[in-house]
Amino acid sequence: MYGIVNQAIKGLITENYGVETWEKVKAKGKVNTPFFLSDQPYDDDITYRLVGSCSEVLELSPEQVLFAFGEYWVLKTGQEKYGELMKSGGRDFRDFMKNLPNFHSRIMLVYPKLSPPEFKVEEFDQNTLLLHYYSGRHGLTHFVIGLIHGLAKMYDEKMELKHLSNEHNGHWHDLFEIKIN
Amino acid sequence: MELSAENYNILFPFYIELDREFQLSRVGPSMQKIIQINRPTPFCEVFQIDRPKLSISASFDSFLNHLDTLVIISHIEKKIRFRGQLIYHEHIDRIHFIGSPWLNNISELQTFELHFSDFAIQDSITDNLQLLRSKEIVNNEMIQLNQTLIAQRDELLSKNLIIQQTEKKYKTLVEFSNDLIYRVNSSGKFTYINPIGEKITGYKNSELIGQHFTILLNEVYARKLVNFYLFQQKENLDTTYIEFPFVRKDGLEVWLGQSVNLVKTESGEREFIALARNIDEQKKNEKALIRSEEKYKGIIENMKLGFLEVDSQDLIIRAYPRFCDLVGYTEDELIGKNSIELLLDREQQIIMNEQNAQRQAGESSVYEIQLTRKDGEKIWVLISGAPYYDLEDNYIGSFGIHLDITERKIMEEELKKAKLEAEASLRAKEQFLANMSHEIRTPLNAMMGMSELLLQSKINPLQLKYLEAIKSSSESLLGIVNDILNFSKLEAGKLELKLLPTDLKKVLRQQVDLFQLKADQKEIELKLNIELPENTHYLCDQLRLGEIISNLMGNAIKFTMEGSVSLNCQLIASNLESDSLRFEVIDTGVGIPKEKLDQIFDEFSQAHNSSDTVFGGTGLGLAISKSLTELFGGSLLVISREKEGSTFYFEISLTRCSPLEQTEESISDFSECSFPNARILVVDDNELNRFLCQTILDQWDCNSHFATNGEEAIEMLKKEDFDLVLMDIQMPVLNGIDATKYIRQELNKETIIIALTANTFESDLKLYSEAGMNGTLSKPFKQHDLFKTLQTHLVPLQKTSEPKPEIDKATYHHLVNLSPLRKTLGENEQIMKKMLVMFCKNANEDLQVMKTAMVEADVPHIKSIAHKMKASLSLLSHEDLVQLCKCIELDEMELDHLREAVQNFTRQVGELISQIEKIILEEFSK
Repeated sequence: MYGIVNQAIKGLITENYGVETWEKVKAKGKVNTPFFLSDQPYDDDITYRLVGSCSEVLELSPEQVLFAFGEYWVLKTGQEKYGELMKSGGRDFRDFMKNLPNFHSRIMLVYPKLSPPEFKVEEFDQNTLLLHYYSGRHGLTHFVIGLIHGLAKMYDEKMELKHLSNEHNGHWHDLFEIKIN
Repeated sequence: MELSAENYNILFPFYIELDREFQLSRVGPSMQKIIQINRPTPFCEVFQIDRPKLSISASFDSFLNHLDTLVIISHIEKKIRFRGQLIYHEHIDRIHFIGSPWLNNISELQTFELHFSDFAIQDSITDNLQLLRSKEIVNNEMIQLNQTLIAQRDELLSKNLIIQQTEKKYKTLVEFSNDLIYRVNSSGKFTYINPIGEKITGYKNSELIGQHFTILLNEVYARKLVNFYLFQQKENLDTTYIEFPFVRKDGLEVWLGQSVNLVKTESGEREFIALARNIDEQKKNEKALIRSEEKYKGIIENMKLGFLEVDSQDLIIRAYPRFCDLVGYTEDELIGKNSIELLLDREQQIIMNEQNAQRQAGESSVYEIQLTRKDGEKIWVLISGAPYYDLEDNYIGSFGIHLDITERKIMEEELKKAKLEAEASLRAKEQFLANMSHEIRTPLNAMMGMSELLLQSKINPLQLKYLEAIKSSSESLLGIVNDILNFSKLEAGKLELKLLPTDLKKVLRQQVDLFQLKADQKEIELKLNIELPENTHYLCDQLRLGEIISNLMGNAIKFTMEGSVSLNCQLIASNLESDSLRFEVIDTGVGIPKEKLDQIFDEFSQAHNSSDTVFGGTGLGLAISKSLTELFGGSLLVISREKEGSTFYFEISLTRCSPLEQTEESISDFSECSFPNARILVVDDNELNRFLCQTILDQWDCNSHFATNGEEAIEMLKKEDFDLVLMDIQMPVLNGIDATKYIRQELNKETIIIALTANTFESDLKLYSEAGMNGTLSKPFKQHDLFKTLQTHLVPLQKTSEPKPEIDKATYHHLVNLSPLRKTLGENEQIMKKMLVMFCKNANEDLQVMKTAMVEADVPHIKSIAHKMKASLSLLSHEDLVQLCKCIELDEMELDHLREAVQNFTRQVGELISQIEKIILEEFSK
């Protein structure tokens, strides 16, 4: 995972719980790296360990940590680092969701060592999208759910998200139903 | 291959179509979003050509010549640039500009309101923008990282500097130290020795470096120290300390005290850093000290003193033979045991722990403690204990010298017990005297008061004679009681002089006047000789001095049958502030036999065996006078010759003072005064006392009310206000002190409260004042005393001669209503009186029974008494009281309510009875 992801975890913890808690999280996860460079790839294990120790230190479930992290990623990290780019991603939430697959393909060009997930969007009806999430990594479903909630908040729109299925077929495939109100 | 218009728009959303007139005839959907034209418009109105610029002109033909050129155009108004190429479509004769916007940074997307969906998916311009942004971010991060690294480097540099400086400092310390400092590696070989080492060891440092440290030790200590430091290494002990002798190069042995730190070098190896000090001198002193200690301990042992040494944990280090004998253990049995746990029981352990805390604080102490011997026997010892310390002044233990004091202790206990018994007996005597005087004074109060009242009424001469006899007897009885009380106060040391400005001449004259009548009766001459300076004002306790003189004068007159009694007072010496005065009472009476002279000042003794019957008295007078004289700082002496007379004299020193204005009593004849409608509450359980107060207060037109205990008084105060409360102290249910506290603290009432009591010890008065009482009226009191008390707190009026309006009387006897009885009996006063007397008697009995029934919660009994009383009450009391009686008889009440009603009822009937008794006295005794 690129450093930008770990940077975001650090941001989430230090902003909400203080530097001391972040040091505890790092110590608990046995992560010694003093800082993360956003365009440098780091071992996925570091990210998983950080999520695990956050869960222990904050006494939250890993799912809660991942969800919070997803929201934070869109609303803070994405906005701060790629503010204009994020806003140009679509005219509204629905438009942005439609561009989501291309957005991730482009990211691969920017970060050549990244293996970003793939998304596919189907327009089920006027208000409903079906979102397919394919990933070689396991256990990040709640991160995606947090991201989508964050996006809706970014556009100040209301939506309901339902996790319809999760299957493994060489890679992980989650299906979400998104109803835009 | 032909492209449909729709696909053309998807692939080239920013295309422009130009016709032969060089007008924009069509544009792609995203281009339309920017230029917003809806009719053919000349190209030059909307765009300008930026590149190529010189080789091209704004015409269809010129464009045709640049089909292989990168063309850059910009929107004139919005300044947005497009990069692309020109394509000629022959079949429609149009030129197309195929391209997309050139954006310098991501924020321009927002400026031109463009979104990713406005670009062809294959267009990489947005990817490039994103790439650009990530590079910017990384760049910023690198700058930040660089700054962090610089800060860290600076911090390291400054820390290094400090370390270097510190190192330098320590190096200097080590180099110039007078103590030997050296390093030894893990193999025990010297790697460094500081310069002083050469002086201490006699070796050159270069001779020692690389040598094993045992080179400096004899065989025994070499083995000992090797083992010692192997142990330190094995147990990983940071620091150790040991004392040992080392052998100098010249063969001399010198003692060192050595601290060794086990450290790790940078390479991870372990080595020893040692600091050793020459302690040769100290060792010699220690040896001398031990020898001297042994000598003194021997002396102590020979003196039969038990010597014991314990460490800081109270574990016995050494017990000397005499101590072992004391406690019955052998030294082996004692060594290593906790002395406190082994030799002391729980109670003694607490004492010992306190002593230990003192010792650890560095204080020596001497104390007594009880030890438990091995055989369980308890023995008392006197311990002199002292702490002792190591070289660093740390407390490391203490030693105690034990002296067996068991026998002395037993004697002390016996003495203590005897003392306690004596004290208890003295307290009992004091209490008895106080109680007795109270018990006597209470009825005496009534007797004296009543006599006074009777003396004021119309009586015949014979009655007057009897009455005066009663009055005089009760006064003399009061005198005896006061004697006893004063004596007990003096004996208990509770009597204090109240020194106030006093005109001594006046006091002496008053004393003589007091006895004039008696002297006249016995036809004895009474003389007063005063030889004093003009100012006869002194700070003096007038009352107590008067008591001494009056005792002596009384005795003198009592024992003189003919001749004279003289009271002399003369100045015998004078200094700046005070005068020494001699007082003498000289009589020409029976005198005192020589052999009795020694005893006459003893309490309860009289000179003549028969004198108690002939002359009367308690035999306390002289004892009291003697003690009072001593209180004044003098002593009472006597010169006497049998059948010739006696001279009692004393000398005291009094401080002079200037004459003060005498406060004359503003109203002298209190019988002519009144306190109209002053609401006075008399609280006393003694009916006679209540009646006496009532009678006296009535003559001053007071509106008096009554309560028989503190609780009743509180209830009454809750309902109404009074101007003054006369509060007895000893009462059932709730005493006067507690009642006053309640009134002050709970009711928050400022009503004036006067203690009505026979207990007038200083400590008692303090207690009353602390409870919140405003003053004290001592029982037995005279009308005059009560008047003075009222006068202090209330404003009296001079009575007019007008008769008291009848309405006052009606208010006073508010509970009495005799009209039904009068109607029944007509005007037959005798029968009326009998009826009233009978009512009072019966009602009193009924009330007692009712109170008892209430205590036993016997409700039916209470109701039957109420029924019985109802009939008589309806004849002579007001309707309210009859109603209350009916309620008690008929209503179903809870016990608490019933209790309250019965209390109210008994109080009111009690008051009714006393009002009726008063009516009997006033109306029917005429």
